[in-house]
Amino acid sequence: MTDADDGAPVETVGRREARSGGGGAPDEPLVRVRGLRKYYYEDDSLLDRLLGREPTSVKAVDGVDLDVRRGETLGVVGESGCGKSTAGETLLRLREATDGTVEFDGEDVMAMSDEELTRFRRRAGIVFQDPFSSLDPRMTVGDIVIEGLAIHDEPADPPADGRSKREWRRDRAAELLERVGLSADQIDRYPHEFSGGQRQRVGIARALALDPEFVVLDEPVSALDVSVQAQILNLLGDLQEEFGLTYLFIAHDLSVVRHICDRVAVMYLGEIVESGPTDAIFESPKHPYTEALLEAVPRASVEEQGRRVDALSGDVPSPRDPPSGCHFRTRCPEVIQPPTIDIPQEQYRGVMDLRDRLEREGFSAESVWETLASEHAGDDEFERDPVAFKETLREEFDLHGLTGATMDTVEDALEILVNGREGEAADRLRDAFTSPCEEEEPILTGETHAVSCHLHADEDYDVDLDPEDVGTAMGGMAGMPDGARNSDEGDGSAAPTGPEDR
Amino acid sequence: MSDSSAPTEASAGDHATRRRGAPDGHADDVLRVRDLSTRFFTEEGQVNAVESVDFSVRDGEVFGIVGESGSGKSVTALSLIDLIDSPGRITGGEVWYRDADLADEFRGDRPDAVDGEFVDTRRLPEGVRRSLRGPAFSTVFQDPMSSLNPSVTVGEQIAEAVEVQRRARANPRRTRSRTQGYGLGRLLVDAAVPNRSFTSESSHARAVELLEQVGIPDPADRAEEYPHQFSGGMLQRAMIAQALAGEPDVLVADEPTTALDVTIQAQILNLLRDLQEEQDTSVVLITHDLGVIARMCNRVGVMYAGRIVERGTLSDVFDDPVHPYTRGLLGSIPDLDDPAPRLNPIEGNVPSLLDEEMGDRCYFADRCPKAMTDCLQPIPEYGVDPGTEGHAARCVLAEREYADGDALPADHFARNAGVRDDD
Repeated sequence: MTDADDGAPVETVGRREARSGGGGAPDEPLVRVRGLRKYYYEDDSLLDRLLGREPTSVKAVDGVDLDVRRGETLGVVGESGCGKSTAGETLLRLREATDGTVEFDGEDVMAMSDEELTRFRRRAGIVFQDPFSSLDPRMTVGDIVIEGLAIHDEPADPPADGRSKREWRRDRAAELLERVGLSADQIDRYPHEFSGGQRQRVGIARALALDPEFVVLDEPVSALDVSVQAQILNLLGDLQEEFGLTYLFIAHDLSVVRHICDRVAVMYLGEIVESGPTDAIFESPKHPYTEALLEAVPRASVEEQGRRVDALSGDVPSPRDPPSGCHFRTRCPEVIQPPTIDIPQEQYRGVMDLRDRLEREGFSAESVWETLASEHAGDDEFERDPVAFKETLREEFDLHGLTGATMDTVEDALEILVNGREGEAADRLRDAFTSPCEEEEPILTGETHAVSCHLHADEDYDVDLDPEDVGTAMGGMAGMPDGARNSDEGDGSAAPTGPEDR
Repeated sequence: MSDSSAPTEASAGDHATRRRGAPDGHADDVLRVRDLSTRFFTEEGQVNAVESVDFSVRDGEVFGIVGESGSGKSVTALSLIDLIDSPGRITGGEVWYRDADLADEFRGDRPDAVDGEFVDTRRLPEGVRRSLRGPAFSTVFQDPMSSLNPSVTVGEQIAEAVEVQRRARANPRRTRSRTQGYGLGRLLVDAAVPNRSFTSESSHARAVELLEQVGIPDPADRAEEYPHQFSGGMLQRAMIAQALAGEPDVLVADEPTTALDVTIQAQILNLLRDLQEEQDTSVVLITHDLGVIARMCNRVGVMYAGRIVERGTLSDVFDDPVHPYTRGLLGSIPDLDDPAPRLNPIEGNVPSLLDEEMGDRCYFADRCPKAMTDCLQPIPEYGVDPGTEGHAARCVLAEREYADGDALPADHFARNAGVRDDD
């Protein structure tokens, strides 16, 4: 039940070990995703249509480009709701994409007929996040592992040794269960008899049953305790090496991603904001969002004690109505000031926060009055005091210390707000403070280490990255074919991560 | 951390004497938990969820309890505030809480429940214990989505907490909540007189203030909204506001950031720290995340299978761990800044807590890389290295070196388990 007995490869499972790199040129990515979009529609019922309502789209995945190279682990990391799981499921065509193409080993997955799709499913598997809900409680774990074999009529011919197909499948399931660290005599047990970590092993055995080349791992360890999580991560690494697997590893835990991935793509609100080799992303992050994520992770060491993190303000905006331009601009601590403005960054952030609340979150002056009133509860003499009102806002949005024309504009806007004209105040602020970040959508640019941020739009990429260092670091990673490693050295011949804009 | 009256090496030997009163401990203690045991009596048998847990919490500190799922950390939290429901029961132990007024009040009637300024909340009458919830202890639960009532506005729910405290202050034994004793009569009266609200206007105003204090923008507007209109981070802030309504001395935070993303987690941890420093509240922080423990806590207890297997200051536990479980836990987490090629997981799985399957031994022995024959008997808590005050571990390695000669055979537990399966 442990990883200690990993040594002996199971015969049947290992038979295609020599496959890695087969079919297609070795430096071609195994999976190539371009412009993948997945929108969900709300208010889209028949009644809504009869009433002439426009459906609202929820942009779960909004134009994602990914290359997954043979034998590597590509991490997709982001916070909940950023679309990483949807992206993983859509590229396997478990959900129909709204737009975009996915090429698997040169074939267009989106255009596949049913028959081709069945063939594709043998070669690409998935391990789901929640080991409690992703296994049928009424099937034995043996049946769960066998199910895929039966559907794909594996083996095609009765085995030569006289076993029936059924016996062959059962033996194969037993082998797989042993390979993932369970014992073969547990084959007739039901999922509820296993712990979370053991169930996740069953999920992995199921994904491996058809001997796939590519496996999407959708948060495979996030439901597990740390000690068990480490067992599963080691197991996944071993399996990859043994069977030459290619992983798309979806996770929110940055430490896990750093541990297991060769390259990483960071997602925010349906888009990839930064992608590159793991060490480059973690050691010299470029996008302010990546920096903030890394900063926020609590480290398990004594130095962490009392560390104060400059937390990102606010929540992730709704994907129903993502911000214009750069999606991250509403929380970005480094949002770019227009050429006409030159004020300390915190104050600019404050002004933008105020604007944002007025424009996007239905901020009302009345609410400020009510809050003021509640502070004076029981005080009958309380009167609406414009000075206190403005002071509250200056405090909340860090607007103290502004000078000159900037201060005049802000004070003007506050005065308008006192009189309850929120729209007009927003207009005033917008006229003066529009950031380049909201006018133009940044594009993912860069060869190996790509970033989608206006701050880096004109930079010469990868100068700060010593190719030697990256090469060595990647060389230490398990299961990394030479082709993939070379391409990380930024020699220009590699498949680009952000192709649209070279 | 600081020098103190009671060195912990005494804890092993003085185990028996200590039981009689709140006694040993640090001068600044606000809470002393002694030998606390909670059991669940289920159809499958008796589950020893918390067993003989000892720890203390000092004034204005953050005490962390860390452990994996099923280690008993949440049940410990619920036991502190006496929220264990059937089929569970606190079967033994003492929870000493420092409150000079209560101590004076009960010194005559219940001398066994009083020791100096401390009262044993377990021996106080039910009504008094109830009245401690809010002003003395209050809780932030793990899942804000399921901890708030979806059909009542957030402001109303916080106002309710404020109202209960207000009424309790006027009449200390009266701590009825709105739903308590809610029956057909109340339902009919409420239907006939719709404006008969439980909360007063001033409670609402206080609720808005609390929401503002925990950093919710537009608090007056947000107070009128329902929980589903809040994001996860905002809801957790609202939960904290509710917990602050009674201005508690001890805030029990049970996995307060587990359901949240890292950037939101950072906001909530900052908020908790600010509130704790501002109001000098003591916090019992329960989490499975060693990183959160490291950022927030002064002292830590590591739980495994219902027991605190090691406790001490943050650096005691993180830099000089004694118990192989603590070591294993620290070795299992991937390091963000310095990735190792391979992790060192703890082999095996968390044990069953069924009484009949537990036996009288170190519960970690079956997964322990350093299990010895000594581990097959009950292990008391040993003070670690007399120089380090307050560092204690339930492990023979605190007393002696590991010796290969005494090692348990590798198949010791497998063999025993096999025998049991065959039965």
